[in-house]
Amino acid sequence: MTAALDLMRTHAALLPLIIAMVGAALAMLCPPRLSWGLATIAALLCAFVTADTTVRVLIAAAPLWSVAEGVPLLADGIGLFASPLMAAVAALALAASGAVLSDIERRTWPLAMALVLCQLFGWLGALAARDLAGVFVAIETAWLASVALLAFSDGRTALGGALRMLGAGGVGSALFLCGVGIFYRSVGTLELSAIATAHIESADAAALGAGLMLLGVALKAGVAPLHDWMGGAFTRPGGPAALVLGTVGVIGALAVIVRLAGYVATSPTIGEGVSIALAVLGGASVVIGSVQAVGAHNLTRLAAYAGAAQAGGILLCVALGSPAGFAAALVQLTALAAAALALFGGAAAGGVQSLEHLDGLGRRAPLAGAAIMSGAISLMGAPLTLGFLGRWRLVEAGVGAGWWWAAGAVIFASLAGVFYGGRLIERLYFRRAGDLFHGPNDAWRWALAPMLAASIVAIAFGVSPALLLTAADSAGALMLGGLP
Amino acid sequence: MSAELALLGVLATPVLQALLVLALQRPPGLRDVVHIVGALITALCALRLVGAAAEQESVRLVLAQPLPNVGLAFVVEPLGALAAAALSGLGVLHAVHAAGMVRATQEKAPARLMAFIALAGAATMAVAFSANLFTFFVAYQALTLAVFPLVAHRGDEEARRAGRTFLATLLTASMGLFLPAMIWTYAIAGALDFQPGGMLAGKVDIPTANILLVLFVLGLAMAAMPPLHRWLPESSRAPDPALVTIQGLAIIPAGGIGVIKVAAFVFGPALIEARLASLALIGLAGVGMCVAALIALSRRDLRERLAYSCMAQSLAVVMGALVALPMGLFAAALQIVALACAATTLSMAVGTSAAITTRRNVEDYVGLGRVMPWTFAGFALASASMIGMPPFSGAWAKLWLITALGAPAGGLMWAAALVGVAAVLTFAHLGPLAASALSGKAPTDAFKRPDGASILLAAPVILGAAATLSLLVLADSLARFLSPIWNSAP
Amino acid sequence: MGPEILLTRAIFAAALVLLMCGAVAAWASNNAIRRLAGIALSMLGAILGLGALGAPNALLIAAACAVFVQLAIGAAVTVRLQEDYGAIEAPETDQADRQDDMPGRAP
Repeated sequence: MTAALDLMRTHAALLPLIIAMVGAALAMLCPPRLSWGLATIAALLCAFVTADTTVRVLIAAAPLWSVAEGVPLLADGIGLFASPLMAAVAALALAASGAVLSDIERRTWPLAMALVLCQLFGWLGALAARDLAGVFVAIETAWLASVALLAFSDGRTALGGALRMLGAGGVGSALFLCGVGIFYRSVGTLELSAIATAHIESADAAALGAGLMLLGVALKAGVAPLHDWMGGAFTRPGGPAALVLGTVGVIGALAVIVRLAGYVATSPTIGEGVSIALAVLGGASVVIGSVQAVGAHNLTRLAAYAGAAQAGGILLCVALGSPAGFAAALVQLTALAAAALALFGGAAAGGVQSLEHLDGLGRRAPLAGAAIMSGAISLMGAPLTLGFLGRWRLVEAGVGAGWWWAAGAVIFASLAGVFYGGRLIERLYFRRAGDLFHGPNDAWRWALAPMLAASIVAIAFGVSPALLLTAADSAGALMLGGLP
Repeated sequence: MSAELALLGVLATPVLQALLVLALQRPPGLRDVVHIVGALITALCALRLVGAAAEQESVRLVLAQPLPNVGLAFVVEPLGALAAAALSGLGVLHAVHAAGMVRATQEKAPARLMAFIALAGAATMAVAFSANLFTFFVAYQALTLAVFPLVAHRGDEEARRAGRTFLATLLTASMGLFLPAMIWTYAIAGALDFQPGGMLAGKVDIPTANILLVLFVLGLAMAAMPPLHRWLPESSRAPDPALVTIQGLAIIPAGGIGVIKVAAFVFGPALIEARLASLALIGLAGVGMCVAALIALSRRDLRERLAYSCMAQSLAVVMGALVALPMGLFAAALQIVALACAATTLSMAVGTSAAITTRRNVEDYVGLGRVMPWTFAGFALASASMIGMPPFSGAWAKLWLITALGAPAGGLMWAAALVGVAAVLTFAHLGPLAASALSGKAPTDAFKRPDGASILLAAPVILGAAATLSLLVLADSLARFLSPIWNSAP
Repeated sequence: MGPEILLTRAIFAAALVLLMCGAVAAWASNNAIRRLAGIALSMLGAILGLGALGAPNALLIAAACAVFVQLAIGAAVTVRLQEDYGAIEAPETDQADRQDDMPGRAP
């Protein structure tokens, strides 16, 4: 047992990627229900392996190993923090998708499961890749897997949305590539760890390149105003594609932005330009996402727009470029993950499409109601929730750096949160139930329970977050401490 | 019982009470007993804490550590202990009254009503004992969320609209004004702990102090400062037991406690730096008081009239707290107690008469005191206290307030005059009403049912009215008891 | 400024123009085929730019693979659109979706 654990730890960098890939291949070959179980187990294994490393390095302060796997991987603070989060979100989303798989044709189940694991593989790869080429390939893998999942698993209504996603993603990829080219021209390397020490020929060009790269990923993370594709992608509520895209896809892309920014926004020569670009984009995303969430009539879209507002907060944290800023970004990322699990899970459990379907859901489906409510209050930034903690850390880091307006943006997001979150809670608990319940009604609906329960527990974690804060702080410090 | 245990008891008992009330809905007798016993235990714990505060015991309870250097912490200090004792003591009367009301009105969801009343009580206790701004903010939000179901209790479109106004005003103000002020304070002081002598004292410049004060005071929309007072009249169609909680026992007192805590523990001497803002706010409160009392005069529905009347009284607390004098803080603290006694009694009396006679309009009250002498005796006494007639509680509070405003150090004769005008207007909208109820010709068909008001409905009213006499005997000892608030030495 | 640098810049400028034109079509076009052509064009522009800026071959190959997969998925989606709706214009398919929703469950 110990030997197996040691072996696992020796190959901890590569193992999650192998598990995800092999899991995807096996899931393709299995009968439908079995493929669901297998994929869930594979994601859980990934979560276990990555969490083991994270706990050892970020909490127990074990030294970071040097990777010698023969593949270009690089472990850093943000990758270490975000990987287990990513894997856990994927495992919960996969488990939950068992409840809504019946929405799609039975013969496509194995393909859908394999595509989810491909997404996990892609985002984990992008969080561990050593150079920008690796990051590009990994992001493309994840993104195209999510487009394919939407296109091939969600009936014909999703086809238009998939095409929009594909178009937006193509633009994002082109921008990313263009950025990488310009960046390479002036920095002379694609290696992430070499950026800090590289001799930079033209700081402006390098900053432009870095900005384009981040813009390319931000497009895929659904950062407003670049989230045009979201409206089409989230037309159907309960389907597995929306569930996975809203959770795994968004969190993965945001984690990659935070990681990339950890290398470029902290560079003394180009950091300032990148910071400004990130701050502008972040501020815009907070405002636009909040306003759109207030006006949304569809729960999954509301969750996506609220997510865009949160993503804006994350960009603001990252723009600070300080260890405290990165720690705050990671806390916010965790908060967003919990809220997304709660809202998308709740929407799937209740079959909630338009907000009217929420009426009286709190009594008909108590767990789903509780999850949506906790997601809503976390998005409001109500104290003692994870959402509040993330915003508080942002304000602390922002005010420390003299960025008062960041506090303003946070308060704007909270105020908008009061409106759209309050509306959700009012419908859940203070309206009479409407005509019919659209959610899954068979025994498989219990597959959603872990996701809903985990989201509630995670949000309640805001009451005593010492462990999370320690991990985030050491991730931020490790990220920047590695630089001279 | 150790003081720590009492502090935990005062916070946890109402929560437990709410859960038990929901769990033991049937038989109704058991539910009511649980509700009353819970309120009683809370009141006993609060009394124990008054003892602890009098002996200046250091009692602190940290429930969680959600931010690295800010805890969810509660501490016993004189202001909190006094307010908690008064509110929880009146809470017992209200619990008895609520048990009578849900029977007399055949309330459809009595357990839910009682449970949220208890939760509101818990949140109010948490507001009173909060040890820092963060805890205060959490408790304030919890109170808003606990009272929202009471406002929207009836569930029809009107109630839902009132609920939305209530929630939107209070949450928006606290998130949009109070929270930024709290963050700003944290950035200046590096901490959020309430401390006598003020956490901002000596650390803040004049413009910042002025802006902060405005943000804090307007952010505390529960104090009904205009223009953020719409929620109060809007919520006046809530069920009667809920109205007692809103106007007398939870929301308005919590707003007052908040303003006093901000003035005494956040600003302290730094209130001098914020002179401009405090003058403007005192002016706004003074004018608001008179206008509210005037609007009350124009309302025929007793519930609306009381809502405006309570608003006027609440603004007196704000004025007292902002004078920047120990006397003013003392007046504000007394005013909270006086307001709680009078408003609770009045709204319970209105509830009793509405439940028994279905009469709610001013003109229907003529002679009603002849058939319900106990209830209307209580109504009259509480009205006298609200107006500020000696020897009732309200008189002492108003006296100190006017003295503080008019004192040479305060130098605000105009504000003192506004308080006087408001008292006259309060007399105009409550005095003749009480008089005509007691002296008019008794109506012949007053009662819905022949047996009149039960003891559960009448006794709390008269006991509440008796409580308005409390400050007559207690005022002096309260001055000593409360003195640690304005003395910066521990 | 030598002629080589001038040529590089000219190629890069052309690449940018391609990228932008493609991006507009990929983002905003209603027609599925045009959207795909837009993706192809913008990726082509990006690859051309990479080449002009002297990026490593690995990146060029990765980009080419990505373009291939994007177009493959896009083509598959377009075929399914044509099969399921008999149209590849977004307004027509949206209209069909709305008609599907009408008699069905509540909006």
